[in-house]
Amino acid sequence: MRIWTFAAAALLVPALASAQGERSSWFGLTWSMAGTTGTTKEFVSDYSLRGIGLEWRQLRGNKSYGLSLGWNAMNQESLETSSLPSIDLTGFQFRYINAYSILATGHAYLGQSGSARPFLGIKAGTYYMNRRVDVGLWTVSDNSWHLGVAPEVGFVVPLRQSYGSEAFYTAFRYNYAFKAGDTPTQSFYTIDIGIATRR
Amino acid sequence: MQRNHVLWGALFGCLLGAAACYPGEIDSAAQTDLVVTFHDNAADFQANATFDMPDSVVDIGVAGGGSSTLDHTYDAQILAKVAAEMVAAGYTRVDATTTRPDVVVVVSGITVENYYYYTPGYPWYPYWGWWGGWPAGYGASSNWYYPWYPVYSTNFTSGTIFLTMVDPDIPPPTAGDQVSIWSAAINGMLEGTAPEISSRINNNIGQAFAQSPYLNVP
Repeated sequence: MRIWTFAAAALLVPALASAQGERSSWFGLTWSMAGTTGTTKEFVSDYSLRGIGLEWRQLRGNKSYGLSLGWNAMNQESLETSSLPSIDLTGFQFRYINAYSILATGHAYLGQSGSARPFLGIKAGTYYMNRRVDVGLWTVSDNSWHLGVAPEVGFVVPLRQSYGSEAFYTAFRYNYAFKAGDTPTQSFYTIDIGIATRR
Repeated sequence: MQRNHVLWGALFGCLLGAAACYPGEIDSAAQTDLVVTFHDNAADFQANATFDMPDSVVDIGVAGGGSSTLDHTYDAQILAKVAAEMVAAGYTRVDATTTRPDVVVVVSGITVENYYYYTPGYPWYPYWGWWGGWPAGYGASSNWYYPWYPVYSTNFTSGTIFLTMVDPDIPPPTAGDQVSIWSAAINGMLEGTAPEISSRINNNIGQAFAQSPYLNVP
């Protein structure tokens, strides 16, 4: 956790510090796809195409800071038999994870303004995880808030006909939400595809 | 420029709309079916070879203090399937009025909500007391005894079929009680066509035995 915290601070603080002088804002909207890893994958393993992201970045030079909101819905459906001492249970299990994130962001951009540019970023903040299992006519669910970090890489491509103000961008992000109470560490990666407008 | 905004907005709106559809909801009554089996870890199932069972499905919903409208349309099918599964598991059916069986299997059902099936003290005698197969010594004060107590199953909002296997040879902790060594609860929504319900009954009773391989005897 210390390493992640340090990494977040190392990228976020310079991004904040650089946001002096001339500024411009970036507003982004993304389609967010997700896949689970680690203990999260033990609960839901299927790849998800359901998710959205909203993002605001304050740009200056080759750095930015901002805020990111995200929602990813992951699910899995299976017919399973679960066994406990003296008890066996068979039924369709519908498992869901709804992951909501509110993250502060810091990004650094490579290349030249006006051309396709790769970027590196780190996001840090909080995740709200809703996990639910529907089996038969019963539902079991839990909700938890986690602190978390999310390193990110991506690239942005300005749109030709709106050069300088609109862009297509995509990013790969690894979301790592730290253990919270009885809820174990949650982790999933996302592939975001979206458009952004710069003012 | 404005045209591009509208185009991109519409395109992306469609994308988000498709992405936002909520996934994986239950789309058939069969997907609500749940088969739960309980067994006594201390029971020696291999020591049993014969069984018998009363020839009716008892509506025990009333015993829970509520009303029940158990549909008896499928009683014969349920009883035949249970008997067939017992035979397939290696048991021989005997006539309990003349030959004492090693185990007795009783079948019941409810359609009421908030029924506590495993609440201690539930009387069995009023429902199967008429059956001539019980060994001597069991009377009106007899209750079910569950070795896995306490297990509570509540809030049955639809139909549930219970299969209970009783071993008369195991001495109960309270005189007159019947010791259940295996039990199954098959729960699901009471919806669908007659062939669908019939198929679900067969599949789920089969599943109850399939997930209880310890019942199999040589």
